[in-house]
This record gives sequence, C-alpha cells and structure tokens, in this order.
Amino acid sequence: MADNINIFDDELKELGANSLINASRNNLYFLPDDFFINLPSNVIRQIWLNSVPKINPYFIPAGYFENLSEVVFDKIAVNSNKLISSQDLYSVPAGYFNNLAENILENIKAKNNSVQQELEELSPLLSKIPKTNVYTIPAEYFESFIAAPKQEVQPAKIISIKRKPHRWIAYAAAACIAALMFGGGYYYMQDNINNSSTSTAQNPVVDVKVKQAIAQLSDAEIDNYLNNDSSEVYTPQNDVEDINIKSLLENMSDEEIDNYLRENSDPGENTKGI
Amino acid sequence: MQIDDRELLQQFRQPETKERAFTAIIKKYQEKLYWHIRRMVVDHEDANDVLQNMFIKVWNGLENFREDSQLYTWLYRIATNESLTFLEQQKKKSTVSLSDVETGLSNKVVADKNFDANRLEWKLQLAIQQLPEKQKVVFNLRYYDEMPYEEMSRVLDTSEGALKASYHHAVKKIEEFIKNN
Repeated sequence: MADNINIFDDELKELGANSLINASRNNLYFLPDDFFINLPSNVIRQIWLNSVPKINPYFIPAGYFENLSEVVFDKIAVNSNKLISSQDLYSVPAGYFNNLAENILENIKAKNNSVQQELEELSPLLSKIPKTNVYTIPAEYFESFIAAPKQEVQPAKIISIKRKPHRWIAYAAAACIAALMFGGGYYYMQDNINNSSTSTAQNPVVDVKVKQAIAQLSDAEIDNYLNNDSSEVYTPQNDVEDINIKSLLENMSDEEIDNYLRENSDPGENTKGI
Repeated sequence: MQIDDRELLQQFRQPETKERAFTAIIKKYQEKLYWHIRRMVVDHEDANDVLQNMFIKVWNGLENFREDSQLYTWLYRIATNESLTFLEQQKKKSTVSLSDVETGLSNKVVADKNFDANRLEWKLQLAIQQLPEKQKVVFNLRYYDEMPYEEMSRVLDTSEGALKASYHHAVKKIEEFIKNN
C-alpha cells in the first residue's frame, strides 16, 4: 500500500501537483451504518422487484382518460354557476318569507269568515244578532260528566232524514180493523142473547112442571122460602143461558169480550181486562 | 295537550288503555257535542240523557270504526241521530202532532229561568225551534259550529247543494219569525 502511494506521489510530482501530495486522503462522505451489511439483501430485493411484471390490476372505465378533461371542466363550470342559476330562474317577492305566517293566518280567518259573509248576504238582521249562548248548565257539569255504565246495546238505528208517509193512513187502517172486530163481536153476542130469550117458549113441558110444583106448596112454605133462601134459584132457563154464555165465550176472542165489557159496563165499574 | 285522534283510536283498541282513551275522547269532544245536542232538545236533563246514550254507542261501536271519516265527524253523526231519535220518541209518547212537539220545545225555551223575550238571542232560540228537525240540524251546524258544507254532507249523508238550500231556507224563516215577533 505504501509503495502504491509513492508511485502516485511520483506521478503527482511529475505533473506538478505538489499540493495534492500532502492533501488528506480520508473519506469525507457519509455512509449509513450497516450499509454494507444490508447491501446484499437490498440488491437481491431490487433484482426481484425488477423481475415482477408491471401489470395494472385496477379497472377503469373505457375512455376514462379521454373524457377526463371534459368532465373536470364541466364540474368546474357547475360549481361556479350554482349560486347564480337559482337566482336567475325564480324570483321571490320582497318580504315574502317575512310575511308568510301572517298571510297564512289571514287565509284561515278568511275561510272562517265565509260563514259570516254568507250570513250577511242572506240575512243582515240575523248576522247582527250576537251568538251569545243563552242556555245554562249546572256548575262543573263537564268536569263531573261520566258516561253511564257501559251497557251492551243494539246498534244505533240510523233514522233517514227523509219525508215519511203520513201516519194518518196507519191510524185509519187500525180504526177500520177495530171497528170490524167490535161490530162482528157485538152482532154475534146480540144474536145469541135474542136466541136465549126465546128459550123458555121453546120448552113448554118444563114450564108446566114448575107450575105444578109451586101449586103443591103452601103459602107459608113459599113465604118462608122467599125470606130465607134466595141464593140459588134453579130454572131450566138459567141452564140454557149458562150453556149459551159458555158456548158464546168459547167462540169469542179476548178482544171481543173486552170491547163488549167496555161498551156495556157502568161508568166507574172496574172491568178487568181478560 | 290533546292527543291526536289516531293515537286515541289505537289506544282504545288496546285492552290495557281502552278506558283511558275513551275518557280522553269524552273530555276532548264532550262540550261541542253537548251543545249540539242541547240546541236540538233544549232541556239540560234531556241533553244529558242523549249525551250519555250517545257515548254508550261510541263505546260499543268505536272498535269497528273504519276511519274512513274523521272521528269527530262520526261522533257528530251519532249525536245527531241520537237527538233525532229522542225527538221521535217524544212524539210517540205524547201522541201529538209534530207541530205540538215544536210547541213543546218552544215552551221549554220560554220556561228557561233566564228567558227574556225582549232579547234578540232568545227570540232567535224560539225561531230555531219552529224549524223542521232537519233544517234545525243544518242551521245549528252551520250557524253555531260553522261547519263547512263538505263536512256537513258527511255528517248528515246529504248533498252539499241540498244542505245549502236547507240553510238558506232556515235563515229566511228565522228572519221572518224575528221580524214578526
């Protein structure tokens, strides 16, 4: 090594560079620590990276780059025109939003006033009458209102608000039926009463036997009987009447009997319905 | 703060909240419905009976309410029907003609302890009782409740045109009565 340096010094002398002969030959450049230690692995890694094929795994739309500039310029144009276009297309009256609430309230009042306007047109007199509630209610009525016990009731019948036929037709029909029933019953009863009144004339044999029995009694016996016992008097006529009444009642309806009793009862007499 | 009708209906359909929802419905609508009935039947006791019967029907029928109309429209309809049913029953009980029933209602107006024949408001009440039942309902709903004709047609199941005509006739009759009395 020393011989080599001398050779080079001689050469420098020959070249006339005496200042360079005395200059320090130390390495002034910085070198990281472990540079040379890591160098082989770094070189091998680089060799490997260089050997990997440079294929782009990511997908991009067709013509992306061709259209990219146009797309970018369009976006720039849109962003710069946003504030300007809305102002150009629509206009809002001055103070619109400031008065909006007031306008809405006025519209609501106008709708309510339509009833009042209608009334003023129809009847100015009526429109001037104050709508004062003249009726009173008990104190704390609404506070204490409790619906009645919940009962199961039939569904409400909705009454149609339409004209109904007059009721007099129904009343007339009922009166006709009642008259027919009463008239028929009365006629039937009268007929049977007339028949019963002639029953004795149709039984002369019975009449003779009674007269004979009475003729055999003394006056004292007759007087005694009439004074003491008048409860039951047996006569064939009564039997006939009883029989006729029974058969009559069998053939009569309750309503006919009721109507007859009402027709023939004295005022104040309590005639019980059958 | 009043609860929305839809929420009330939902609560009514739940067994655990049914009674609470029903109470809320009563408290929400009782005054309006009461005065609607009272103007028909005049007497407070009668109005109370009708109102009670009306809410009983609401209790029984609300579960099947189809919500094809507003709740208060449906309530008004029941209240109107109950009032008219009550007046029909009054007619049958007294076995007198309709005009006599109207006279009876007028007598109830006159019998009110605060009645003052010199006040126009009381004359108005007397005039209203002269109206046929349907006209009375239409007049009350329009004049006092300021109900739109569209809504009234749903309550009374009558066309708007017929209701307008009915209201106009009613107003004219009332005006004539007040002028003549």
